[in-house]
Amino acid sequence: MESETLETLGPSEFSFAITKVAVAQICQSAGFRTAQSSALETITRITTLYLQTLAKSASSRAASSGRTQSNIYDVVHALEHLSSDQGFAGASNPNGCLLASSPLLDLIKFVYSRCEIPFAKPLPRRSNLSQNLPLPQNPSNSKQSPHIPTWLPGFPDPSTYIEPKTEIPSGLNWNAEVEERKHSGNEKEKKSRLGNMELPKKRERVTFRMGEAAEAKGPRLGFRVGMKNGVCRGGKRVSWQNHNLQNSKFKRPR
Amino acid sequence: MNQNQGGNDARHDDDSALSDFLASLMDYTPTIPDELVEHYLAKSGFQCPDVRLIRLVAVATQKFVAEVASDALQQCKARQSAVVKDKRDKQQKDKRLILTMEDLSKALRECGVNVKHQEYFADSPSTGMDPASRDE
Repeated sequence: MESETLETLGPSEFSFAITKVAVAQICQSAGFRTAQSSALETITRITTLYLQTLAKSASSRAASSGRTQSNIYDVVHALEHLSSDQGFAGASNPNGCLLASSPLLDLIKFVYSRCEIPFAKPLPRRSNLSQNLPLPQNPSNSKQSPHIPTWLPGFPDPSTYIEPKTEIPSGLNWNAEVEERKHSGNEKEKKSRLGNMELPKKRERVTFRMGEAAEAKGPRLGFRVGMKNGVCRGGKRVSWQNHNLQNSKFKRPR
Repeated sequence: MNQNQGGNDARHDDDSALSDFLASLMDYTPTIPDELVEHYLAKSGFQCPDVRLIRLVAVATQKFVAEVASDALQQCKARQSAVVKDKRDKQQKDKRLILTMEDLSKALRECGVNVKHQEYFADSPSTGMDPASRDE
């Protein structure tokens, strides 16, 4: 395995290549001299799946017990779970002590009996790898918005999401503005760009009449807010983007 | 990590044997390097600050692979012993112990893994006629 080949691989292929080297070393210690490439890849794939299955089983065991970090009991449970296919001594006894379970004891015997086979090549430490890929930092985020982590990408250009401010009549001064607009007459309103988000700058006069049987007169539009036992039953909020003077569907039938 | 509830000596023996084993794990270097094991553990959501558990998972995987490899070796030797013609051929074949897909699939079937592989790739009309002389 050449080092140049390792550098040009992606992250998942990189870990797979390293696993392949380790698995080849183990096969060599078992007695094989050579291997078919397809067979080596297959056993490497099985190894990665075994490792991930052990980890997933142990972590799900910990999570179901309400812990985020796994301990030795979770790992031994995962070992037993994966050994249950072939069977082990004491599998039928659910009350046995976990620390004396036979997969664990077999593992202990394995470690004591074998001499160690260190990995063939020195691996770069994770700190070295992180220096090659600097995380994108956004200093603007930290100053203006300290609640946003710096490792998130920055906001886009403000002109894309901030609309120029237009006068929006507030509901509290409704009567005052209605008085102002009496003199403005019927003016064409501008359609807002964003639809329901913004009221148009200049609108038709709108009159509200509380009570029943209020009819709209002429160009002025009227709402009848239904009253029932003196309590106002409010209508829906409507947007004035596409209004029609003759449109009578805004009148609530009573 | 070892939650001792108190109690009988047998459990204490188990705990002490296990803690001795875990201490010896730190001296033992598994073939699968720690960084690789940590990468796969992190990928699967396994969180543990204890390095000894990472070593434990590494040696468990190593033991699994070693078992599969030794089963495949037994299959290979069993197949070779059936084909032995004379002493000279046997010595030559002992030097070339090749991990093949056939032996591997038989060894993995015992572990519950079904591996299917192509018998041969036909790139010429004579492919697959004489399996003994076929080389990869």
